[in-house]
Amino acid sequence: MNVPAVAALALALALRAPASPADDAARAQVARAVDAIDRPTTAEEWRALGARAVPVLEEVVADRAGFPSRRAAALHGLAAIGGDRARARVLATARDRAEPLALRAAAIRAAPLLLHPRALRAALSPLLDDPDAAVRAVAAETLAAPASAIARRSEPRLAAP
Amino acid sequence: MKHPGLAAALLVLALGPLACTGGSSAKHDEAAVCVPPAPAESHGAAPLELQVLGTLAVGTRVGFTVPANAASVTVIEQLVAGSLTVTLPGGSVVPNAATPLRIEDPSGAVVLDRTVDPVDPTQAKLFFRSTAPGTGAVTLPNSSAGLQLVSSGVPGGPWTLTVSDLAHLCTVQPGRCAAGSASAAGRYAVTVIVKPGSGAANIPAAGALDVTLNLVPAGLTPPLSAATAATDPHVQRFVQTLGTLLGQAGISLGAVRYVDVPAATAADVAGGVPVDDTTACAPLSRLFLTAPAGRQVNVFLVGSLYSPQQPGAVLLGYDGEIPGPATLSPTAQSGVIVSAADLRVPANPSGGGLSVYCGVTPSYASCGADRTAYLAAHEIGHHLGLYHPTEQHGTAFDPLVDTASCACQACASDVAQCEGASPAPASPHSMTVAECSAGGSCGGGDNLMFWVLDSRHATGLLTAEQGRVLRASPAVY
Repeated sequence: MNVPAVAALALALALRAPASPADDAARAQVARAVDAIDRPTTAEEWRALGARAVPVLEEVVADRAGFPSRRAAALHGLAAIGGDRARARVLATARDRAEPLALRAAAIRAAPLLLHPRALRAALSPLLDDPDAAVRAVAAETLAAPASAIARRSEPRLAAP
Repeated sequence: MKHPGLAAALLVLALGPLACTGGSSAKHDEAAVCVPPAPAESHGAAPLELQVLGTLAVGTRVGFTVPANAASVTVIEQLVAGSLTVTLPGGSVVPNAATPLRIEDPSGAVVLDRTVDPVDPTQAKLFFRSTAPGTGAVTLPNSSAGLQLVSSGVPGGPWTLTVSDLAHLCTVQPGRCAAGSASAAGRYAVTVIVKPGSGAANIPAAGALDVTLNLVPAGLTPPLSAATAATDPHVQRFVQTLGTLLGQAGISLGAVRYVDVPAATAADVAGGVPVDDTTACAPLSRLFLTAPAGRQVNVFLVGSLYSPQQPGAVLLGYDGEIPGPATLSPTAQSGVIVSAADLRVPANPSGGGLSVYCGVTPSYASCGADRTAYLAAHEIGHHLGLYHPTEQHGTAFDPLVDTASCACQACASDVAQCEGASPAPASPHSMTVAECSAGGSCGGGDNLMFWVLDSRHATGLLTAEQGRVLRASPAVY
């Protein structure tokens, strides 16, 4: 059996593999975090779930038929855990005029977790011209937050300015 | 941002079109509410008995009378002068929660003593765990011991209470606050509301609750407004399911009214309601202060709620305090706020419309109106006096015996991560619905007041004691 065939077989087996207990645990913890009613899930709590939560969170965010409040919470989780894919997802959601206001607002507010203040300004400034007044307001509030406060709240590994 | 001027300019540029909706009146409104609001009057009519005890300094011991066979007694303190915050020994700033220091019944027995933290909340005759500033309320009964105490009616005769707040408590127990935070300067307007009993058990076996839905049109697309709510199928499904959930406690939904939040305030919160800042100037307080007067629960349906202290974090609901100042409005705690972000999911159900899609019984997993109604019922539960049966970390519980609890050390999948474990976990474990639906000593995941809504397990269950606490509220008639 050649190497590509082995790789393909391994991939197929992996895709067919039943969810492991670890997957189930990650799914339960994500469900708990996106469905918390009146206690916000903190960035530290999201980070405690670790990388195993990322595929579940991406699944929740990508489900356009899903509840916007769950998708918004999952977006916060991705932003808190961080990474290039999370950054791309958060910024794309903030800009997507087809997405519900609640989701776009959550994406804008989560952006400081992922971007250095200068990069944040570059990313959010276009939203000051958004047709939706509420989006403009959320972007302006986020940009107006003191840089020191943004940096203090952000994770260490920010996107370069 | 390095240049505050640039930040301000950005804000002005972005808000420019918004200002057109509020204009100078928005500025006027802001100036008008940026001081602690004047005490509100109760709008509870007979048979509720109102006793206005006047404006009293903290530390004042004052009497009031409870007639025989009452179902409940509610004491409400409203700030007239004093601080809204207190600094704790660790440096954190918390609301200066208002509540009596001590309440004694006609026999002289102590019903509430704030200097003693109950070891077992279920055995506290009156339980208090609110953190709301400015306006504080307590209703007897709200615990198993309290329900037992009033099983033959609230003891009739002369009662006493000592007006207080957290800053005043710190003059009695200095170790609770940072140096300099203790204060005896607070003055409060004090009102006592007595709800008469009915039937053999005094707390009525059934009741009704009026609800006013306060709407923020710009928070959703298409706008959700008073003009269209009565014919909006999603809103009507929400109302139907809310009635079903409250019905589990013997409470029928009475009058349902629809009101638009005043334009200037609505514009402020169109992008979401920040819930961390509870001061008089904050959008949260300004929203609550628009609450219409009346014997009702004000439910604010908004586009979203968020926590500025946790950038990007969202909440699904918020209650001003537990319990809310029933029948008093407007105050900075006059109601509950619920995210309506999910209300219109699905937006255009095919094959028979929303009622067919959502089904005969509530579907919290797929029907946004049902999910939103669940959130509203949960927050109304807080407003009428209910706590989470098990709090987030599985280390604190409500004061009722018949609600299943779910302790982290007994029920968590990894007890090494429990709050208080040694070595301390980086982030304490949060209890999941699955863990709290395992049976045995691990229950409560299906309760309406569980801290998480998991549609696989949620039934909106309310226990008998929870029902009695709800029906004892002066908001329920």
